[in-house]
Amino acid sequence: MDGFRGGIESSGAEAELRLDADLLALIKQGTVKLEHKVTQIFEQLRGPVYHYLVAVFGDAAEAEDVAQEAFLQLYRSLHGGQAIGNVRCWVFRAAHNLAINRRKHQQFLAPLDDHSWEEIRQSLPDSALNPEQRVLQMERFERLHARLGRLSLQERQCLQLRVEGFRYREIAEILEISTPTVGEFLRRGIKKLMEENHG
Amino acid sequence: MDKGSYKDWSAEDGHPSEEVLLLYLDGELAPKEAGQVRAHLEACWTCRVRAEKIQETITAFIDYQNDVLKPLIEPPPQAWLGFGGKLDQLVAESGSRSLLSHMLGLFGRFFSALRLPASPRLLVKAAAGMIVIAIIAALLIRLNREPVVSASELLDHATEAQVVKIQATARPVAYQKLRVRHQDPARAREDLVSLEIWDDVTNARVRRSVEGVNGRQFISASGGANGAAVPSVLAELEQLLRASHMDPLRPLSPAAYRAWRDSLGQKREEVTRSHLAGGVAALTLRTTPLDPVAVGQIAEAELVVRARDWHPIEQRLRVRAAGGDQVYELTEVAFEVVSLNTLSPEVFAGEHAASLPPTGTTPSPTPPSGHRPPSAPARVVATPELEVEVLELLHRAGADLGEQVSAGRTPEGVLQVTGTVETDERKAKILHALEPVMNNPAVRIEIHTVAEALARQQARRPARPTTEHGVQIIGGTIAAESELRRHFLEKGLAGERVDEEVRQFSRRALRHSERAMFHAAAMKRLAGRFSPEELRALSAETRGRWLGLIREHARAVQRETGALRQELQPVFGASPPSEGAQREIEVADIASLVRAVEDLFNLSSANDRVVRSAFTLSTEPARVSALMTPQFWESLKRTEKLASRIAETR
Repeated sequence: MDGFRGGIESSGAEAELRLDADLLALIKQGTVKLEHKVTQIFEQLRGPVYHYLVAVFGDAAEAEDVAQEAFLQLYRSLHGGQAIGNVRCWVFRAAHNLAINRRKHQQFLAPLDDHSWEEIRQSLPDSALNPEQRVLQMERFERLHARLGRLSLQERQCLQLRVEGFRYREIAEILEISTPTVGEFLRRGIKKLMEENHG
Repeated sequence: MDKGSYKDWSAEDGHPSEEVLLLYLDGELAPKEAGQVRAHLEACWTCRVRAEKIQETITAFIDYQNDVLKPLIEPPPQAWLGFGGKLDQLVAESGSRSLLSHMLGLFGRFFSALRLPASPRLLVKAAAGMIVIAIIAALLIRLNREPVVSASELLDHATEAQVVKIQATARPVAYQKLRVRHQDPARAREDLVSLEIWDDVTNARVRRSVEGVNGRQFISASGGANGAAVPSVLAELEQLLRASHMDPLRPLSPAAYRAWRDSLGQKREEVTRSHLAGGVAALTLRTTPLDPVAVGQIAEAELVVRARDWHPIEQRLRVRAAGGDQVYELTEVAFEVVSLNTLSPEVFAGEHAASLPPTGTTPSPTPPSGHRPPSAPARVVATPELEVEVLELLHRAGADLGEQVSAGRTPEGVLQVTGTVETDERKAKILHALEPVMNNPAVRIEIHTVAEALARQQARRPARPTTEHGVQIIGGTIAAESELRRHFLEKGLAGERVDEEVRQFSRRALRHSERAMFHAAAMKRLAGRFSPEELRALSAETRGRWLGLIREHARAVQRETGALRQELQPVFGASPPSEGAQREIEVADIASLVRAVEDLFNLSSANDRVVRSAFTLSTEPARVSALMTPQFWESLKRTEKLASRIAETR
């Protein structure tokens, strides 16, 4: 029983992302260059941040813009002397806030036509499934896709952040809500995605 | 801890609610409550099934993320261009205003955060004050000294930066789009090729394509089904690169540049600041070999890296040619590290990966257990012949020196090659070198990069916050500093040059000494690998190959120790030691060879210890004359002599 601990492959280099007082002191001395560090972090986190923004807010060009701005803010804050413990959390929060302020209301998940589904099916990596199982999986995906469109914005946000591997407390920090509320949104989200059987 | 307090979860007719089940699955319950839920699930089928349904939904959602959503999300339209310029601008705006006051402020905050009783605090503050002064002093000195990095440092940074990019992606493929321009004054021609390279790091394979009239066209050296023929401009460039010790498939990379530059004898190097279009700050490394350059060799090379992230973006190679020097200019147009999962399958279609499952940073349920299917049918034992062959292959890849790569036997008799190396390129190179024995059932290969080893460790245990510690040098000099300075001042150098020469000298001396010791260590490992009986049982041919390896290392020891002596003597040496009566070293049979190897190793280690004491930083200065005694010079000579004797053994 694993919960979300599997999840999307995420980078293992999380030890890099602790910017505590020690490292900041080194940066100030010039032993480590701040812009080098920020660029490193940028290259590591820009993918996941961008993915989150597009998955939740929909606009790719906006997402790219917002993501870049979040990292520039990171530089500003660090340069101003702020010590940041959990960098991943901080960056996602900055990006999230920027996106909320700019947000254009978009219904991201347009229903896909058969052609798109066919393309997706063809581009699936080789898996252990036989053709019959593949068909069933594709049908499952179509249902998921439709249901995702019915999630509320907060449910969507919580699910995407959870997929990214954040704990409830971190998600609460990013979205500026309480931890039990995070649990509630996740529960509702999963409920909406769950296959109705005779359970 | 911010975990929910769901004490009354059992209020709902004795079964946990959906909410609680989810919290339990996500590890968000306090231990006591988690224990209660677990116990309940063990007992209650209904609730277990409910929990499984939640888990199953999560699984489907994750699959959907990977198989549908990710491919659906288009890559960023601007490909992240523009960030660099914006950051550079921001850096320029923020500037180094009150850098020192920042530091002081930081230290103030640092120490007031420590809750100390009153009087020690005074002491600590005083100490802090002194440290601050020392650091400011060091900083000021640094700021006035060299503003630009050395060639080696530039290449180090560039290599490291590349590793970081690659390690951050699962199943990484480094994509690079280059513009290759070739100028040939003799024929008054200029060729231009647009080249794309996909470097699948984990599977050690590379795919290339050129921009043709019909769009992208994959090319391959072997041609035929694998791709079109390589255009002549590129083929010539490949030839040049190969002859210059550079990897033809990764032409614009720190590793390739370094490989060429390390192969040179005397050279002049210079690092300068420059700016590219768009205001992006850059550093240019120019390397000029001082030894005579023949036709077809590189007369001068330049590597341009972005100042901000050390990423190489341009390279110029000037090649000696009969009718006037030719120039190859490689410019990077695009670069990205993508995951093999999201890469279009047409790139590596038709080329199959080496028969290795990827060892990327994917968390997997079972730890990767080497590159063989776990159920080997019959028990196969590696023969000594096979062992020697593997040793030779490792030797040719340069993997038997000081790196953490070793070959040993498992209890079942299988030959296991294990190791941890710094970079993905190194790993790929070693795996490539081991290709001939890759599919041998008696050989098991497990080479990982440091990054992978760390990632696996972290996957098994929850990541603990680690603090980075930098090495901070406030004081101390190297023991040989004053003598070296005097030496260079006498030669008429002054100021910064003297510092630079001192640094280079130390580096060279340490390097020669270290390499000699590594080779001696490799010899010792080789000699100790087989027992005398096993050696006798080897075929003459195999024994010859084993001896050959030892001889090569011996020659290297001789070479490096000789170079070390020649470096040191002009500065520190007394008159060469008298040729006292020396016991003639006889290496007639295997037993005496093994003894000689042992002696050589001990000598090299002793030499290295002396060199290390003289040229590394310490807080107590030692007198060099106390280090480089007549015995030391004697020892150097003996080392060379013994090494040469071993090298001549038949």
